Amino acid sequence: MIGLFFMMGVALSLDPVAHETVTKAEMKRALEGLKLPNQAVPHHITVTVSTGHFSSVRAQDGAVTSSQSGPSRDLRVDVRVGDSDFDNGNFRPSMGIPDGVFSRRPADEYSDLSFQRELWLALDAAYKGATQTYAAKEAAREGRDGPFAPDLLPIQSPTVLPYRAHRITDETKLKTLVRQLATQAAAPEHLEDSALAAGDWAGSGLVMTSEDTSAWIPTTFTIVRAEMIARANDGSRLRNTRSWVAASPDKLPNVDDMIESVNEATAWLKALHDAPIEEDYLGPVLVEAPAAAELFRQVLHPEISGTPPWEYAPDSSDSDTRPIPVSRIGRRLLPAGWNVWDDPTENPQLASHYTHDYEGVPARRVDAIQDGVLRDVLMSRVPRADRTQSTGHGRSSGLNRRVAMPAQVTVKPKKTMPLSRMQRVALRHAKSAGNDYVLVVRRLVPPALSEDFEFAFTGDGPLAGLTPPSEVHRLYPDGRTEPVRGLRFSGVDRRSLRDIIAASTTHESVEMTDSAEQSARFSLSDLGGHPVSWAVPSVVIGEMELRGAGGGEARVISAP
Amino acid sequence: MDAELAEQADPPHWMAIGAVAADELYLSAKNGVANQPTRNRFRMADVDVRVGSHELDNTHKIRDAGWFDDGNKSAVNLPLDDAEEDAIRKALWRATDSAYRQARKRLLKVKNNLAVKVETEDESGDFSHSPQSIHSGASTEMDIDVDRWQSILRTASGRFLLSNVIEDNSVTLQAAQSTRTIVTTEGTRLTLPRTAIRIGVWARTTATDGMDISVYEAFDAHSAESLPSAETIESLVDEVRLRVEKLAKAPVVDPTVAPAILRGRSAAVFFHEVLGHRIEGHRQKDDDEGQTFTDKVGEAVLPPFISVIDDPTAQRINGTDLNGHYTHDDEGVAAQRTVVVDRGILRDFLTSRSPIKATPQSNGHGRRQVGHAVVARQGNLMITASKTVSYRQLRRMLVSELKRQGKEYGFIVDDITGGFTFTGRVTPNAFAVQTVGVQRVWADGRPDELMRGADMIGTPLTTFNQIIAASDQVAVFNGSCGAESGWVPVSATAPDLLIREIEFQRSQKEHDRPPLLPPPGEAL
Repeated sequence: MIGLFFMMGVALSLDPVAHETVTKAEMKRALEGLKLPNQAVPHHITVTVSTGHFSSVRAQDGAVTSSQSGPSRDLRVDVRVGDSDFDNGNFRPSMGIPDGVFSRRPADEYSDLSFQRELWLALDAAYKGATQTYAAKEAAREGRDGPFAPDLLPIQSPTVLPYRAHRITDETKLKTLVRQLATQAAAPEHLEDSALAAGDWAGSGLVMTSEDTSAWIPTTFTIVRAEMIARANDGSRLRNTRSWVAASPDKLPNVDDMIESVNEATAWLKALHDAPIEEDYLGPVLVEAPAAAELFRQVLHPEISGTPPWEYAPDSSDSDTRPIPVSRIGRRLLPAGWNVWDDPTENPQLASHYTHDYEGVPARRVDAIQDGVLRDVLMSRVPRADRTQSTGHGRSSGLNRRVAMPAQVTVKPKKTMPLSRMQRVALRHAKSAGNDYVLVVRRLVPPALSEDFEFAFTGDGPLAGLTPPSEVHRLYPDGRTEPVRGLRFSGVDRRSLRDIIAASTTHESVEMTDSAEQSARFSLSDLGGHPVSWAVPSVVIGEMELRGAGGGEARVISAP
Repeated sequence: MDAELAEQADPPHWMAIGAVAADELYLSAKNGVANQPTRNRFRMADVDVRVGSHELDNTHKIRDAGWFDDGNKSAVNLPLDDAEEDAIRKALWRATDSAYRQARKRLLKVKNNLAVKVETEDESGDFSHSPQSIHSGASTEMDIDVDRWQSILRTASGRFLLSNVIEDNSVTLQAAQSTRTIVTTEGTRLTLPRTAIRIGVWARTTATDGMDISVYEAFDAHSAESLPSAETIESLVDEVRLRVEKLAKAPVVDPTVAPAILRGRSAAVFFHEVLGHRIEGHRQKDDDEGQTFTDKVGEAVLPPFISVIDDPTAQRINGTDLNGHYTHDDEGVAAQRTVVVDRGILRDFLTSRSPIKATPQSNGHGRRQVGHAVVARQGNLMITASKTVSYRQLRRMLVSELKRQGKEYGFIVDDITGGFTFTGRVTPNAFAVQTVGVQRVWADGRPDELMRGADMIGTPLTTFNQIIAASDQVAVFNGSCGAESGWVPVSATAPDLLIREIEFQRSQKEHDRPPLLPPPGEAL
């Protein structure tokens, strides 16, 4: 149920010192006092207090349907029992057994006693869960040879970062923007539906650990999404979207540019009304910006993120349950000469910028792919056999463990060419493949707006394939273009990028949101996720397979 | 839209739009600190389209449906501003078009299902006729002084810190002002405002055996003037605090069968679960339902001094506002006071516009939460007794009954947390009413003893025969009931009842230890 939902009253001022003092005191009490008979005791505790301000506005058919704004607070505690070589972390016990992570919602007003009571209850529940998971893990490993990776990477030194006041989000300003865009999106007569959603968050998370880290980590980002729906002549539902992510509303593009983009999206839908369905295509594909950013993000995210999957209890087949990371050092992912690096500190203007991750670890540049081969990976404090340090890329949502995820990624090809030459290369290869044209993909549906329920039943493995393209056209040798519809990619995986045969220079970063866990696309909501940015070139991939289908149910009643 | 649909091969025989515009306020506090007030405004609409005829339409149940029945429904969001007429029209157009196409498809499946399956026991049609209703209720304001109430809640919740036993708590104020608008193709036009305010006081702890001890008390009112004073709320916090502390130390009930007094609210919930759901109209013609009372109209189902009425038109009893009050149901039919059981004899059921053999017309009990299909639901269920005694006398009768049966002890059930019942044919048609605490009453005159962890269980037909007396004190239970058509506000009213024999089983309990460390800070 969505509605107009706002917090009344003045914004609450935060007393960071009080939070730190009380948290330290209760953590000390927990470390010294939480003991169950003959059970492991805490060796590490992390307390994260998230405090901030949010606004969100939604509109449909040009009219606002919901609007909310207010403060937000969350308390998360993470208790590890055992020791850093073997503790309850990184293990998924069977369903129903709690683990060592627990959260509570502290009151918006603050008093030492009230806040300490929240910590008391959360730490108690987390400790009990931690011991249960620890015991389940011990049982799972009973009688099995390792080696097993340790459970928590050390830090070089504790991080101390003071609190800095965050901005208060402006619901009114957001509503004005949404109204402007929604009115524009709803205007064309050929559309049967249009929706706008915008969210703005500014806050700070206190990360305190039993290693004396005490760091206030700021987070701020703004998301705006537009969706337009029309019908093709055969009744098929046509959908196009636009998304903008920025560090704050002031950093969004000029509203006129956003309106122009919305107009382009709706014009595309009009062009698709009589467009043919591309039923079956096998051949080269020119992937232009911004689709290229989606392509690289979706394919490379799991390849450069170093966190291994969860360890599970073995099933009856006595299989080896040691988690094997998806990312493999030494694997060729791109053509020779290509480099990919991730540096969350590189561009402070972007929403994806940060100096310390959610574990308080300083972020650093990682040269993940060198000369086309994976040489290094992004790391959180979850260990893997071939890496001994976090790179400061640990993030996650909710109660999930902090895993490595990309932040500010740059993909740099060795050789580049202008777009016109890329088109000629693509057409030449298309002809060799027996095609009269080449497909050009300009936009892919972002996972946050994907309407497909996709879940990797292989556990923590990445999802196969790509989200569908929303803007695709045929490019003919005489320069003519023709939009096509109904397409989905088939069989896209890490090997597709090795088939790159041409590339442009690297474009400016495209800001997006992403989920830390790649195994469930639906887990990313339209206004959720973590900001990321990808600066990539346009590419021609030598061979890709796309299949299309159409047909739908026409409306019975004419639009009003 | 009407004209275009009328030209279709299967035109709708009835359509309705039911819109809800709501304004909700939520205040809360715990441990002496408050949350920021939150205000939630939303507008949603249900579009109902029926294709076929009153005798057979797309809403007809598809038996043994499984994945075959796509009876899913969802409401549509509407703009918050009335001036956005184009957007409202467009949203309703999409919803109506989708509802019509779904209705047409479902009717095909309905017709097949009838051909494939045997005849039903009740061959009533799918939709009764009903006269047009036109009514516009007077709008009311919530009129809550937010700062004042936040201060009251903050202060009251601070009193929970007087206890070292209470682990968690809250004191809340929830207020909702809503307006339902119903229009139908029969010309019904209704505007139905409603204001509902609830003060809630809750606290919990963990007993040494792991049982979660949770006590919740609430005041319900239709206007801010009826809300209790700050002092009353603080007293209630103290009551809840002390009750939790006592319950945490109380012994657990052993499974047993014994005489018992159900105090008014417990008796009310008991009747809501055991009788109330079994007299809902749609269950009488559903062959998958147990149909406990379907063929018993005219028969004795309760003792002759007990009557049961459901009257949504009643607004209050003994100064207490009733949650289940409404003037018109969600199909636009005027609510009717319905005598279900008259001096022990079953007379009627609660019906919507889905006809049943015993009651072919709606008596205005078709209800739903937005986003669900309407079915017959309770409103204000009222249990009355034509023969009563004082509560003191009732207690004496309990002790007499104990001695007559040769039992050591019986119970007085003070309060309940809720209950549930099974009405189908697969699981036993049993009920469970979950108590908060019970008083053990000794036949030999020892002082009463507080106990915990008891559920009352049984089966309806057997249990009703065991009601032997009622007191002259009536209590009201206000709450929400969840069933096929979602959550709807309801009330149940009953006198204290003496039951000759009822079975108590142990409640489900948790197994976690209480917190390992003492609570931070000393009790104030």
